[in-house]
Amino acid sequence: MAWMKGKKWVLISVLSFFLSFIGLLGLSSPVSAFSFGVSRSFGWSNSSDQYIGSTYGSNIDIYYNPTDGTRRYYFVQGISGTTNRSIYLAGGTQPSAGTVTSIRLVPNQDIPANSLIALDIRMYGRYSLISGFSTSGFTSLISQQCEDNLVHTYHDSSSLDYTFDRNSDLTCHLLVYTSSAISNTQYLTFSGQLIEVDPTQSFGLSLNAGSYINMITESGAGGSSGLTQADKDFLAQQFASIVISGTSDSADIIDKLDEVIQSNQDNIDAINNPEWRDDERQELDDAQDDASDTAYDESAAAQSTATNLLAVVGQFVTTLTNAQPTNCNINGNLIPHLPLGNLNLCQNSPPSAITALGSLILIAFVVSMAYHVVKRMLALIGSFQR
Amino acid sequence: MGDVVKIIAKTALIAVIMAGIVAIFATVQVPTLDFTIYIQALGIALAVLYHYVPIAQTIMPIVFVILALDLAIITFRIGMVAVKWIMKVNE
Repeated sequence: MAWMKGKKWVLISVLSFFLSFIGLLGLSSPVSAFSFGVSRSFGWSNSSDQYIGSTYGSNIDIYYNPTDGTRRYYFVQGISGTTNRSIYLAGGTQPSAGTVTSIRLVPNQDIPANSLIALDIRMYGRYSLISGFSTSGFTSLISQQCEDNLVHTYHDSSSLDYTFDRNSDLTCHLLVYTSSAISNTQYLTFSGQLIEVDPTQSFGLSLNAGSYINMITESGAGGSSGLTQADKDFLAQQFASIVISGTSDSADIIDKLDEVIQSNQDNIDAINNPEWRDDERQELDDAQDDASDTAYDESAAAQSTATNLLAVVGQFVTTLTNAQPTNCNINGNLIPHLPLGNLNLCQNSPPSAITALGSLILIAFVVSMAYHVVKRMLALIGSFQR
Repeated sequence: MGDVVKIIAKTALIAVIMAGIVAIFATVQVPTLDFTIYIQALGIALAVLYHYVPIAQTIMPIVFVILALDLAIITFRIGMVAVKWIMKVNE
């Protein structure tokens, strides 16, 4: 490490500049009642029951053809064997006619709490769509748009007031809000008298990769408390407009939805906490302005230097503990979306040359450090002997 | 007797300075700083490093132990300088 002598301050300066730049990026982000993160695309876990391991798929197709003996009847309970999919069409009784009463989906990665999820379900073959999709629990279906038929669904009360009886494709675009995180071991469940199938006719169901956007609200401005009915109404209307305008890709839908909301932030009171009234919001905005004007204001959030240092050390240790090379979702940042090309740490093995070279450099670095410390220690011991 | 008084005085001086530093750190109020972005960047950097250089998972704890040892040696040396100064009473 002799080469570093004399260049130490250059290195420190470059590092400080880099860190300050990142910090400025963080500080310069606009302060608003709510802000949205970057939209993410995700696929569906391809395992049989719950998330098992390394197999992922962005698309899932299930298909039944009564004339093809090799294919399994998918929409039955207890799917097994090589045809396992993470999509479950429970309630059907094969080989007689049945009604699909639930579709359970396992995302192939964690979806954080407070997220809007867009996904498409395409049905083809002969079937009858009895009612709309509905959700329960911590997920709520905000809107569903099936083809060009406008179907507004607010909250969990979904029902189509007409029945499809078709022998052609039908794509339903769904917008779902989840107040809690959905891990890759949990189901996103749609239920209801969904699809009636005829065992003598072929039927297929296709699910493309979904997209979600995480709504990061400022503290006190929502958090995981969920959306109000007004929020849902607003989102449903916007979603319908986007779908009707011809946007069918879930990633594009989510992006456009984000744009619409961002551009209407000042006029929209829709997305906020139920307690978030206009006057309170104004008060908080004023308080935020004051706080930013006085950098070292004695705010309630002020802590002692020692406490801050301890908190940073704690965060650092947590980060060290949590960093997992095989985890797709690290601190809310998806590795494939980093500016590292399409690097996917979940699936791709690193080139062995890089691994070997990296290991060599790291070992050399550690040996150098150890040598340096031993020298210091010997010098210290020597100073005692003198 | 004069030497003993000198030693006691110097020790007391250092104790006061140390107590002052501790008191400043414990009582001076600074706004809570948000280091999330740095911590996230660190987490991602570590994950990428671990992915490309799996041996880093074994080596990084050793690196931090060496750094801690280095820090301990530096602290000890500073302490020794202070002790030497305290004990130097013939000047």
